[in-house]
Amino acid sequence: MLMDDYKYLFKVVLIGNASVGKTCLVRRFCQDVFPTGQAATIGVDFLIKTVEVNGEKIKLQIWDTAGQERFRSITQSYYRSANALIIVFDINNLATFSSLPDWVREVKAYANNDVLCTLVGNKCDINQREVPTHVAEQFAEKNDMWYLETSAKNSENVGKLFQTIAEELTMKARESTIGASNSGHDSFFNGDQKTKPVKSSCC
Amino acid sequence: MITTQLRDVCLKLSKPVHGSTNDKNIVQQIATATNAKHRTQNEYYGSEWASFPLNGLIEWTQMQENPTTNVDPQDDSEKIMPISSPLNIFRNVQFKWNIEKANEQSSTTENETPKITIDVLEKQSRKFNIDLIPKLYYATGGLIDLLVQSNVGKYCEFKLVSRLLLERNNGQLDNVPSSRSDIFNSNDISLIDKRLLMKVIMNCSSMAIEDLNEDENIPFIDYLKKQKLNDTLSHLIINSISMVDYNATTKEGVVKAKRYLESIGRYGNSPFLYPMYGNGEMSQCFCRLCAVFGGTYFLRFPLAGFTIDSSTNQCSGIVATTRERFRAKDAVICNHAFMDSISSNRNVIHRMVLITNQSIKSSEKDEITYLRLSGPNESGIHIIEVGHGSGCTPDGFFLLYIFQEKSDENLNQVIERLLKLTGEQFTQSNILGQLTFEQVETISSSASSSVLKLLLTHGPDGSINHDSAVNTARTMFYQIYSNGEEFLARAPDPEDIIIEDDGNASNTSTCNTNVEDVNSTLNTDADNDTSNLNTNTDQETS
Repeated sequence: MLMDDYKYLFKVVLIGNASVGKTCLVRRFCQDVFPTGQAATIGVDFLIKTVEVNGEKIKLQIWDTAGQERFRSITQSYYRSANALIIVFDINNLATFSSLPDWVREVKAYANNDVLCTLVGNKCDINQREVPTHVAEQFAEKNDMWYLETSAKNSENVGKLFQTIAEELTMKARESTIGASNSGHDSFFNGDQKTKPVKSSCC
Repeated sequence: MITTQLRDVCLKLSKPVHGSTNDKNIVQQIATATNAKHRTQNEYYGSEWASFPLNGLIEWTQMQENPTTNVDPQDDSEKIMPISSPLNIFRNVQFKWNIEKANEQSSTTENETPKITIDVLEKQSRKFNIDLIPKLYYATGGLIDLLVQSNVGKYCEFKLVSRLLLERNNGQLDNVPSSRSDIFNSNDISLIDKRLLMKVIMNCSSMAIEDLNEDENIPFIDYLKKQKLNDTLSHLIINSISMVDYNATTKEGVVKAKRYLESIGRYGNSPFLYPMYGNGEMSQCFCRLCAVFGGTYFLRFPLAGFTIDSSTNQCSGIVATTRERFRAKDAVICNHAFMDSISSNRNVIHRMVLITNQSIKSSEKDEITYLRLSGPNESGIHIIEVGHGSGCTPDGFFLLYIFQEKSDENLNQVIERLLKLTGEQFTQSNILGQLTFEQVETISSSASSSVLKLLLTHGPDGSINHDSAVNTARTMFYQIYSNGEEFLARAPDPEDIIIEDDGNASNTSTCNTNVEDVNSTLNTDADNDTSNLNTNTDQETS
């Protein structure tokens, strides 16, 4: 990929119990597919999608849990430098809602203080609701989050979810400086070099 | 392609693991085995390589011996090999505060700056990332190369160790002149000495070891004297550039000097990097890659022991204290789990962590500092200082790590020695809290145990770098995969993964990467991608 032209790049991280539809949300949004299989996607760290906010290109880098949520063993580094967090539960499964306080605790412990948090009730296409909308809304409000119900299956609100996050983050970024596509900070990332290595680093 | 590989090996290996030391993690995730399972009884990743928030560290200091659970063999063909306590490698763990718990009511007087109390620090507990085993990374060292090569580097961030200090004859701390410009700008070295020093440095970096000929085995100090370096400059080279003890041979001294000199300039005017948020991040990065490729992790999983097939003397799996059994083809475990059966005659590394509110040498910049203290008849003492900029402390606080590869000095005496060097700038009153412990070195030459299919890694060594862990991981990987599997093959960039699917009913999601593509664009593409990522996170942490 050659020089991309985008205004901001944001890291968005999904968490929530296993099988609430995190991967499906990401796949629906980034690739407009709904994977019906049960198999976990292997080898995918994050997907990238570019959206437009006020005519400017915003890149969202959306990270999935890689299955580590199953045994509550998400690495802390997963949360590092996330600009936005999406906590997902299944509105048809009360247990996935009941574990939200645990997730909120983890977010408080490991994520940046100023991370943008969104609560998502997924699978709203299925009509076996166990969590009433107002209960979820209350929980979201109490924890300073925005609440949205989505269906990765029929796409409902999926675009809106990520678009809103992109807009909010862009607004925040304009106010401060997060995510800007150029900077002069002196830390090193991703095995990348600011100064070219004297010796070839790869292969 | 990578996934096909994955599928191929998928069933070859299911490796339960107790704990997750760095080298184990490296093995694990290159193992690429989708069935790899890591198990640990801890709540955190990394076991002895972990970093803790302040509260977590204090909890760690209070760790108790777990009551051993005896699990009976299922039948005659099975033996159970119990696992020993982690307290066997960490001994004499002591933590003490030099400050008060809370501000007394009466002391809230007008203009005084508020006193730092334990409560104040504990409120900021999660801003601390305190390493049990602090390490530095040579910019051209094995681990950095591995991170770049495998693409695991995308999960971590590093900062330059921006300040290298040394003890001067005049009893003060000064910067190590390590580049040409540093040396020529130095006010303390005469012009002739500058030339001599520069010549030796240039020589060290350009010569092949064979060129040393008969000098190879003479003491390095004698070799340096032959080059007409005075004591001060010899000390500079031995202590701060080669970072060896005075009794090192010339060969060792030159090899290490080369390493140091090669590393300068790759990322800036320092040979070392330090991971943002502490060394505990490193094991997590490898764990993340393993998870992305299908590895499963269990934290808080109390393990009772290994099950051994008595007829073949092969490890067949693990058994939890809950008596659940998991079968495994190969198992990897840190050898201290069997400390009871390992000889007791081992090196003990004395380690100390100080929580301070002042740098040992003030600076306008936010520095990460490394200081090595040594003398003719003592082994080197490593001192690393990290502050807010490394993501390891709240603003205004510092962590000072002190340890010695071979301990012959009481670390409390080291503090006194350090305080003499820092003078008024940094005094006893700046030390708010201190942790001391001894760590038994569990290095052993062999990765095999007496039981087949059970591989042993060793715990951290007392050195400043990660070489031994990387080498162990590589050896162990080839022991498990003798079929030419590549050690830590590059993980594809997410953008290069084409996901086929998925619309049909019988699907399993597959991802194919065109390996040729990945390879041919390795240098260019990858660079662009990462620099994008780069800038984002850059801003973030600023």
